Amino acid sequence: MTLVLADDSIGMPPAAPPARPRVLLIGTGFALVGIVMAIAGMLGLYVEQRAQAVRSGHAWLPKGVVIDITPGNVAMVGLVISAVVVQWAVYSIAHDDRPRAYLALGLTVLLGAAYINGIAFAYTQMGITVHNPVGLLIFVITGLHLAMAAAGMLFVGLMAFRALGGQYSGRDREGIVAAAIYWHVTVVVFAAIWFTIFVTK
Amino acid sequence: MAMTETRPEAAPDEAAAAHDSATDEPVPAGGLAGLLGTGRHAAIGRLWIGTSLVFLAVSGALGVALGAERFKTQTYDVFNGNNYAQSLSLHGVAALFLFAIPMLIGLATIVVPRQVGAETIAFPRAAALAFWGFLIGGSMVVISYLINGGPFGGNDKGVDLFLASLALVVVALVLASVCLATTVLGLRASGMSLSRVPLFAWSVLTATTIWIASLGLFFGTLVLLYADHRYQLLSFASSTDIDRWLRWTMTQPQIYAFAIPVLGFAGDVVPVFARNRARFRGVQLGAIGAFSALSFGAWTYLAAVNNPDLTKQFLFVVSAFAIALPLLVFVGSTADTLVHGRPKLGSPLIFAVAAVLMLLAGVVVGAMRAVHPLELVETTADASVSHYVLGASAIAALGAIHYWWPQILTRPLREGLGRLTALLLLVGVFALALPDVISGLLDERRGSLGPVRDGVEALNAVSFVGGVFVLLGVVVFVVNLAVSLASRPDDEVTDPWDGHTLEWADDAVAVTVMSATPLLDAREAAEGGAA
Repeated sequence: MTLVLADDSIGMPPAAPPARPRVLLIGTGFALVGIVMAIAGMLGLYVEQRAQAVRSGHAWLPKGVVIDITPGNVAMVGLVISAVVVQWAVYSIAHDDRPRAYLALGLTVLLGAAYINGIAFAYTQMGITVHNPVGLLIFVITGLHLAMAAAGMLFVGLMAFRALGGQYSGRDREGIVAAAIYWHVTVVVFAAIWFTIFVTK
Repeated sequence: MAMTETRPEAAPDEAAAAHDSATDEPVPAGGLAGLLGTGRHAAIGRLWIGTSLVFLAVSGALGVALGAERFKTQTYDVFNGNNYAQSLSLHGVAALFLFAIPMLIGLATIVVPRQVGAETIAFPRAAALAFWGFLIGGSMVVISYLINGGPFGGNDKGVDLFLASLALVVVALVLASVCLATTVLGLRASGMSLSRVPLFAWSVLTATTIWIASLGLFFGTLVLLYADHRYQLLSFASSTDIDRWLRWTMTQPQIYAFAIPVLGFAGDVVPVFARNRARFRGVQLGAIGAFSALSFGAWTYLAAVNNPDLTKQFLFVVSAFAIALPLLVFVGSTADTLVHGRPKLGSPLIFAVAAVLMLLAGVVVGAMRAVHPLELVETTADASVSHYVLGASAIAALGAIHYWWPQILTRPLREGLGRLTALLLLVGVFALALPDVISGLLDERRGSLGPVRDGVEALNAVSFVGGVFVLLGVVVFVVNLAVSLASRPDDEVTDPWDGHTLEWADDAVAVTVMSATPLLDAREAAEGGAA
């Protein structure tokens, strides 16, 4: 049967005109749910194990291990700045200010690299190895987040190249917005990690 | 009117293919290159279905062998010691992660884009990547068991391989789920609000949302276990303990999430075969949504690792009973559609009824399992819930192939063989799972191979016969499939059942949908005009 233009014979009102499909935005949202759950599950395990250790009167961190708050703070502040910068990219592309959009996207990637460098530095300062449960959990949680941030940098970079190719504009900025949302969630997830691992230790 | 303001992305191989000079139609690449590079949703879906059927053979054959071992525990020794535990683990992992979920994903990959009026699936390259990732990961999972890896394995590298490859499978399943969920939300035809989406597409949307969230968490767990085992720390799980970390995915409530599309399939099939409009469609949409929400089981993972018996947890007990409510509402509304219609007995209807009955049985046993005084946790009742629920998924999946054959196979399946398959599977799954509940009530421990109480061996024998029936059902299906594939494609028949929803249209792309059953409306309008 070819004819599918149907009458409203079961009394439903005509639907509103469809919104422009926001496939990349929707897909990014769903992917973020999976990624956030992966890290949240491990963070939950970390908190539960720490509570168990505290309840049983044992020290949580192994002897000689110090989680200095400074590298964590620097990474956190860097990521917060990057969240502002990526939003600047969205604002710029929305106003067809392409040079500033390129600058903001480039800066976001740069700040992402600085964050990875900061966490790598924190690893060297902690004196912790993967060969004990606390170290393993810390490396798995922060490692998953580093992978998330690296994927975000790739996403932002890819959207920057697409913008350079003239793909996005004030009318159509879906890719940039999707990358920005991804990046914002990356920052929020690190905020949870920062509070759990670096602040409350 | 165009379906959307911006047409969805064309499948990559179609976009890149050469054009026929006579018709100007794209000519997809053929042969192996065409297969490897395909981005057509129908081709990808067929790959998912074919591969998951192969893994079903692995899991099913193992299941029957395990049943034979339990049939006469003191006489037969098909397996011994760790081999039995490893084989039981492979049976479960293959049934869930390599058959049930991928099979449902394959079906949805073919059917859902057509149901919502999309030209193709969202992110076709990612959908193809998901399949190839699954194929590699799934094969590695089986290989890891063959080299004495996996849970209970003695080969450390094999255990590492198992964890890494299962993580790859999980990533592939999540990626495919993202593509499907995005298709339903982002690529619907003009006018197709969510309340007008076919029930199968709706169930796929709710199911994939739950899968993405729960499998995302499961991926994190696998990364932790891999690092723990790879660096020989073993503070979280030695190879014998890995099973504890996997089990929450295979028991209630999470196991129900892998049967959500059963409801969507039944919801689409019953009105067509009842020759009636779906009654209480809105209620059915709500019931599927509520069932999906209550099947989210990631919150049990930590508690289940520490102590699998969650029957003293208020939320667990409440959810075990609460999930029966939306299911009963769905069954009632579907039965109402059937009763008020003029039913015709086609094989898809038998499959649909059988699948819903098995799911209902699984939920009832699950509720019993949550009653603390019955002490069913860690008994064979665990296997009973899994068998009922995954059996329901398998029955619905094979039924969906019978129902949507014009989209999936392009060749009809034999109705008689289809009905026989449905009946064999119905009887088989029922006989396979029911004795395990009774054994559980007799305190028969899960996965135990020791001497059993009086009567349990007879129950195990019934269960074994049920397993053989299931295997026979699958064999009949494969024969039916082979006969069908050997015949010529039937391009003339696009709607053999007088379907109600958009996937049955010849050209489902350039439309505006004004109701939940556009084809039925058009047919009735045409008949009214002719009269």
